[in-house]
Amino acid sequence: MSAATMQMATVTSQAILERGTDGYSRERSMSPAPTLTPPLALDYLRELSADIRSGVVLDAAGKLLAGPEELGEAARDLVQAAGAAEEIHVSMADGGVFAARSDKHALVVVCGRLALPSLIRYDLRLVLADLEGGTRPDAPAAA
Amino acid sequence: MPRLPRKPSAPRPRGAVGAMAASLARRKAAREPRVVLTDPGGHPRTLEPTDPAAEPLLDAAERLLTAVQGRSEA
Repeated sequence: MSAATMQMATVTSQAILERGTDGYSRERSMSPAPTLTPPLALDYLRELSADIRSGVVLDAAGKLLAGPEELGEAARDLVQAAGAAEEIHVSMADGGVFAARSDKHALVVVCGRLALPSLIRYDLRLVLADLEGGTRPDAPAAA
Repeated sequence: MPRLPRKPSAPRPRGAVGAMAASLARRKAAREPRVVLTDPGGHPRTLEPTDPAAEPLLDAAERLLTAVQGRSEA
């Protein structure tokens, strides 16, 4: 960083202070926050919920971006069979399958039988928002 | 408007027998397949297991569950 650049930043901040603005907050960081990568999204989901046994991340075309290969095709079929639905929850005797999708990605996770649907759905939307770099959803209402 | 008399209903088991029956009914309901789709507006829609639209979803979910069980056993 040159001396001129450093001086410019100081002059700008002094001008803001002289205008009488209360505080000098910066909502956006100077460097963009790193977005969540598909493999990191899966790791993050596993950390959020111990009920998630496995999962995959697909792109909009159904291509597997992260997760075990053997789950890819069934996950793609699940998302395609759901039509325009944004969230899918299939509950069966042995466990549950949850999915959430956006315009760019789809997250499909397989959970144990005791997983709480509202929490898993919230976790999926949260991670999907981080993956997209969008706004995080509001916390689920207390049951 | 006059209130209509209540329809008679079959007596429900009470006490320990009633609790046991309710517990069994809950367990049975929990093991039945269930499909819930939420549209982009946030409205959930439950599909009956016999619904033709639920069939491919149940099939895909079963394949996913089987694959995950296979992985954990391996």
